[in-house]
Amino acid sequence: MTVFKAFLKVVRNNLFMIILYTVILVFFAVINVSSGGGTSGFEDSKPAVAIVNDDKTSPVTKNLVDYLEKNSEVTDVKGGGEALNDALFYREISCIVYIPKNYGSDVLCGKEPELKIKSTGNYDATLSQMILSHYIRIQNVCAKNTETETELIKNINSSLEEKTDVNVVSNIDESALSRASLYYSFASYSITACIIFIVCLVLSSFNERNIRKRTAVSCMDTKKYNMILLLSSGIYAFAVWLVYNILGIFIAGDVMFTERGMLYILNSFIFSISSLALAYMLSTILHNKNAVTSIVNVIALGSSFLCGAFVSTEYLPDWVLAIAHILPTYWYINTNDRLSHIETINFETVLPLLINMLIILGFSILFSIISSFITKKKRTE
Amino acid sequence: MFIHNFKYSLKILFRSKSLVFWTLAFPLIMAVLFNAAFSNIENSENFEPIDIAVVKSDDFEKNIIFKESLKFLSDKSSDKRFFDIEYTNLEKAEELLFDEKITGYLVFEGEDVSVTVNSSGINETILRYVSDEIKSIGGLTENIGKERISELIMSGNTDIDYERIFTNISKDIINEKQNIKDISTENMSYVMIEYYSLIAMTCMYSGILSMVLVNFKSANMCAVGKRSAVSPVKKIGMIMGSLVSGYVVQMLCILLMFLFTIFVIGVDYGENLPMTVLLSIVGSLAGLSMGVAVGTLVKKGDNAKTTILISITMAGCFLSGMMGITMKNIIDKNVPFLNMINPVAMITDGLYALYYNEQFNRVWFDIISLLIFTVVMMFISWRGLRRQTYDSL
Repeated sequence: MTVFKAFLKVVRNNLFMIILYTVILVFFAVINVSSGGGTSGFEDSKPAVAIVNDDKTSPVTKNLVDYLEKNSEVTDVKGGGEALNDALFYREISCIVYIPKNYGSDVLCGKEPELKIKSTGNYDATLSQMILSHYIRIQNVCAKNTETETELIKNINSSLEEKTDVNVVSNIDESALSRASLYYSFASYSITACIIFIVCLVLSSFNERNIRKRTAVSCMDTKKYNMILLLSSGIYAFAVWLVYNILGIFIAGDVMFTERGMLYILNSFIFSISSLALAYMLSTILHNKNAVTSIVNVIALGSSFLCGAFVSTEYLPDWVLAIAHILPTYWYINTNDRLSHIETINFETVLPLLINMLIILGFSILFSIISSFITKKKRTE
Repeated sequence: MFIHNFKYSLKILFRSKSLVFWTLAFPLIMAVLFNAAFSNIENSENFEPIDIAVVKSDDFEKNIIFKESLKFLSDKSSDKRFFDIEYTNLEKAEELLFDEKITGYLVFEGEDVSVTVNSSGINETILRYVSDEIKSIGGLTENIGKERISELIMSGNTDIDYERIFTNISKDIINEKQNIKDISTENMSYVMIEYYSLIAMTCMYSGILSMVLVNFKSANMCAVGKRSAVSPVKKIGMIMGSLVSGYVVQMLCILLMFLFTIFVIGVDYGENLPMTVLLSIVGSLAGLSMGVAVGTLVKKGDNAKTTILISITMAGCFLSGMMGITMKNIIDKNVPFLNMINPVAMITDGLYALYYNEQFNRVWFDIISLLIFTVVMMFISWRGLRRQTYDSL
């Protein structure tokens, strides 16, 4: 009990850091995974667009603006030109459309007036430019073949009514699954940081020369002492895992109560075990408590950046992913990614996930062997 | 005495492993990680042709407008290529879609066309839009063609080549130029914001240097501080000597940071490198002053002060976009006051203004804000430091 109480004291003293890592996780989760609910049918993606309209009175221009409002997310950016440029740079909008003065009357005269745009060049921008150029093409052709303003607008709109039927074959709710995957992948950072930080701090406190000597000469059985230390660390790691899974249920929702959800939970449990084993291994190497914060930051941030916790693996270069294979976080995130894509849960689809989990357990065993080897070597010195 | 303090402060700073880690090694490690994580992200963001399949059938062969349009949109020599198309049978198309090798496939039945996709998304919407557009062109061709033919009949022309009329109209519509001019600036790399927040973080970590040095001169912190307090030396001289040494070390860290990011990572700071360096120099001053303030005002142990300083810096970095670039914009729009008092955001904003639009007014505003922040922090620290007396230590 003395050992366990000492463990709890270190946890209490460093509660601030645990809360900080948790708050970062929750903040990330709320910002990145709050959007959208599941839909069974096809839903058009609507790129965010800003319009600077200097021709507000013309019905022809109004028709263009109405079309853009219907097919994209027209955003009202307050603050003028600089604010618009900022919004574009930070990808709040994908495109700015500048409509010049007398645009509507020039279209009617068949002048094909120039529209200026600014875009981010990404997929959203491509879509917004496609929406705009689709309209302009139809408008130009109709303007050549009609005389009056009313007729022009009527012809444009009737031509734009053509729609293609879209069949969606997948039954999985990708929105909910991507929420769960994003949350659990980002959680790898918080789980690693929280477990390594506290366990290393506690073990390095107990491994301090004087304390180790005092423990060695005390009446406490070494085996029992080590067992309590291991148990305390295990209980702490379990508590971290439990708290993050409860948060996961709040964030990902009903999907956590399905077979898929159970696999997310199991995967995070196995990952927590590997983090605990890694913490044990590091504590045998680290002697300085001040070094713990540095090591935690390097390991937690490093593995998160390299394995796809912060930036999705689809955007990571191949050489980074090749390096990431030597880290348990890669296999953990790989399982989360696969879980969000597999169509049905059966032995064939789950087998690769189980292999990933076995690899993570393999890492845990490797870390444990290394730490016991180092401990043994230290004892004999 | 100034030189003496300067020399010994330098020794203290260079001998502390944790200081070397936080002020020098940690920013460099972060730069390497940023490079690993973000080097490919903007390439992935650029539009690449979408893989689709078209189910071959007699109906598709008869649909000239779709056939020609898809040929045009998948022409490998064209810069307007939207698709990489595989013309195949239905079974193969279904298999490709199941294996996620294609975004979707088109099936033609009579004059109608349908799109089959796995789920909703950007690529799927683009595919749908292209299909809608081709259908619209088909509809327009038909309407205009009918009008032209009736005009020809009315004018008494009996030798009418219907196919040629429709083909010419559809070609005219497809080749119709849209007068849209792209005036986007070239500097749109938002990954630069990550490097800017990294520079800002490095600047703010100079606070750790000044805090450690202030602790060394504080009687309530260590034995050296007690001896300094009772020595007949002016406190301002001692502290200034230490702070100048801290600033020199910080300049060295900044220099290494720039050299590393430019020559090893390959970051292009553009033509305004001198202004970027100036912002970093002023930013470091702000960081240094914040460290002095925390060292003076917080009456706790060394570890607690370090935790507070690193937490403030990390929170500042978070709000200025280090862990997600959109954060700075969200704060600027919704809680502008927060970034107005956040020195990390002042540095990041100045660097961003230089890079994106070369808005020098905004850069000078940020530099002046940083100087005001420095003066305020120094004033608060001076108020806290002067006439400190202890009944017992």
